[in-house]
Amino acid sequence: MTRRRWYSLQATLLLGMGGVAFCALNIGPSPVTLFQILSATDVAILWQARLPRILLALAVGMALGGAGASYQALLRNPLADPYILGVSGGAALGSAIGIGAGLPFPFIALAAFVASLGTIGLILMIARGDAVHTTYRLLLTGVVCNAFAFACIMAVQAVIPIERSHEILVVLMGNLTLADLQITWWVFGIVIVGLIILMRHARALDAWTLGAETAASLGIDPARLQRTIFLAGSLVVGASVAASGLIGFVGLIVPHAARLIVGHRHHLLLPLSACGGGVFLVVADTVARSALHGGDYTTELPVGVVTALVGAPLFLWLLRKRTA
Amino acid sequence: MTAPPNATIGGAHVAPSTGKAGGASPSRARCALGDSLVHPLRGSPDSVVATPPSSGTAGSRPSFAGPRSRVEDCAECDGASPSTPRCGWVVGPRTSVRGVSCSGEASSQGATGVSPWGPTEGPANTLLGASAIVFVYGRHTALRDCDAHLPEGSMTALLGPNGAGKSTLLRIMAGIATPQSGTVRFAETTLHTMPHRTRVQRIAYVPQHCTIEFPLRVRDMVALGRVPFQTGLGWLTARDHTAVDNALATLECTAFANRLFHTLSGGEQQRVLIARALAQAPQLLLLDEPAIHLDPAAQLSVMTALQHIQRERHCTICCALHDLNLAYHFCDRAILLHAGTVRASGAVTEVMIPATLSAIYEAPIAWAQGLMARHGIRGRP
Repeated sequence: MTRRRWYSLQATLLLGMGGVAFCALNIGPSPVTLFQILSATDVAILWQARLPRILLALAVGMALGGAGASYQALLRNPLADPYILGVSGGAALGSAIGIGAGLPFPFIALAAFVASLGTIGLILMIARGDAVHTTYRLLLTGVVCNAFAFACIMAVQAVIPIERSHEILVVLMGNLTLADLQITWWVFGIVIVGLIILMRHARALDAWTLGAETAASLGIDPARLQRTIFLAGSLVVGASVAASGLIGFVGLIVPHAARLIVGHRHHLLLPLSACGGGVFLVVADTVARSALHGGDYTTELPVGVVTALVGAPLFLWLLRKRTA
Repeated sequence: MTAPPNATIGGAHVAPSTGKAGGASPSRARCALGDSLVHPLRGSPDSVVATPPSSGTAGSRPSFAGPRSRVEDCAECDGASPSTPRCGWVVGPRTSVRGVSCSGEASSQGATGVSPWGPTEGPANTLLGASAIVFVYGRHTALRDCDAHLPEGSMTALLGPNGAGKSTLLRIMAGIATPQSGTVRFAETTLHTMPHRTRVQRIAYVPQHCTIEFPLRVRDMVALGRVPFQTGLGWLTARDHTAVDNALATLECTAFANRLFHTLSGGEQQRVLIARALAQAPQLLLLDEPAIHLDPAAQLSVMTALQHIQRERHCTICCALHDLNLAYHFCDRAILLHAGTVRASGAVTEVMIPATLSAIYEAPIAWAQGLMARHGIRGRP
């Protein structure tokens, strides 16, 4: 793989992702397309309803795909997902508290993001120690933090009024409907920065999957690598959970599928996984927007339901394939 | 500098070694060369500046400087006062050892223990010198006051029972672990202050365990050895490809370069791991138990490959070994570790003697004698 070929591959990937997003912009419950704008309502539907959602779906999907692939390498476990290290629980708890306090959406997202940063700090503090055992400590701390956060969410849900507790349920299922363009740009910015940091460690992650000792013998500082990957991954996961709730299975299946296609070298895997995540989530969201539409009954599925409905069977199939 | 008289001891063992396996004779013949520490292609004797060890910079400490002998405790007489040893290991300045038992049967050799090869071990020849290494894991002291020196171009076996500190010493020499005290000098610089990248471009380390969670092709695995040289995100330059191809060819892995690593046999896997280390183009190659869990043929192929690397690539090699036979036949030097201290180091013919081995492995001397007789190892009685 030469440098030139790598860059052209990335350009192809980005173009493909842009193409999918463009198609998604023309699909929806109302028959509005870019080539057929008839009224001011159509303009509003395109640029204020569909575009922010599609962009947010891209950002969140890229975040989950990229973070999922790097967490799998970090934990040396192909079954790890971006929600496993506890940051998602912290962010969801932040959302729940924001909803419980009756804040408007931008502040709920902010509360969730601040909570995820707090969780990152807490987990790093607890898991600190010698490099060899940090991985297990990170994993266990993350799992316990998640369990604790969800207990807190349930507690919050139990004490607040029933209408607002429904909003918490929406956060836990994951949806992209609350997006506005400004928040979307913020999430996009954080995700791009995080993914660039992850990409810069692609070679180190390759070595890391062969064990801490091998990585160290190739000049990689294991403790620093773990910290960086955890921080960058958690940052993008925290931002995406804050904006869209817990959208399951994207960060699990997409890296897996990407591994089947390009193997386990991270300079290829990470971009493909990130772009694949973006494409997958845009498609899932388009399905969620349009599927239950027809006649006099029209509603919308939460996108997390779609990804789980598609993702769970697909994941089981991949798992069988792996063990077979 | 001329080869000291004792160096011919290694050569003297060439003749009686006719009973050995076929591949062994060249190694013994080279042993004599190794003792003089002049690499056939790296430099002539004239180019080597001999410096007495007492003035050496590479790892000599004030407490052990000079040609005085050091007496260490041994298993036979625990608690004996160091000043009045009943028995012990009389160690010259970090090079030679003469086992002296309580009965004093070898005491006549003790007189020669005062560094007969001192000049050959001068700093000019030492690629890596570890001195006064102390390493503690929690409450367990893995290494205490450990001195080890790897002359340039040599192939050194690191011997000792399980838990003696072989792996720890290797990790310290590789710069992966930092000792609590003591210094490691590598080619005139201090190892643990070297930038990571500079260090791994010079020293390659093959750990005992290699976990593989994600299936990797052999070629990609070997290409990881180029990580220390890469600047981009993981793309390989023409130079990287050449290095990978050469490493694969040297270890005879080209035939299965496109297979998945975890589908290979144990011996093939070990060769691939060595190829990865070789792709780093190291000056020093450190291996932790390269021959463990391998059948005899695979052991031979791995050790032959290492010997080839030492000779053709002029690479200094140090490997932890459990198989004394392999150590004797393929290595020209040995460092014997016991309970975290170096008990003996020097040419294999000098240090792999029944008395030493039986003390190191805490086994009856008859075992060591039997072992050596069976394998055609002719050390000193």
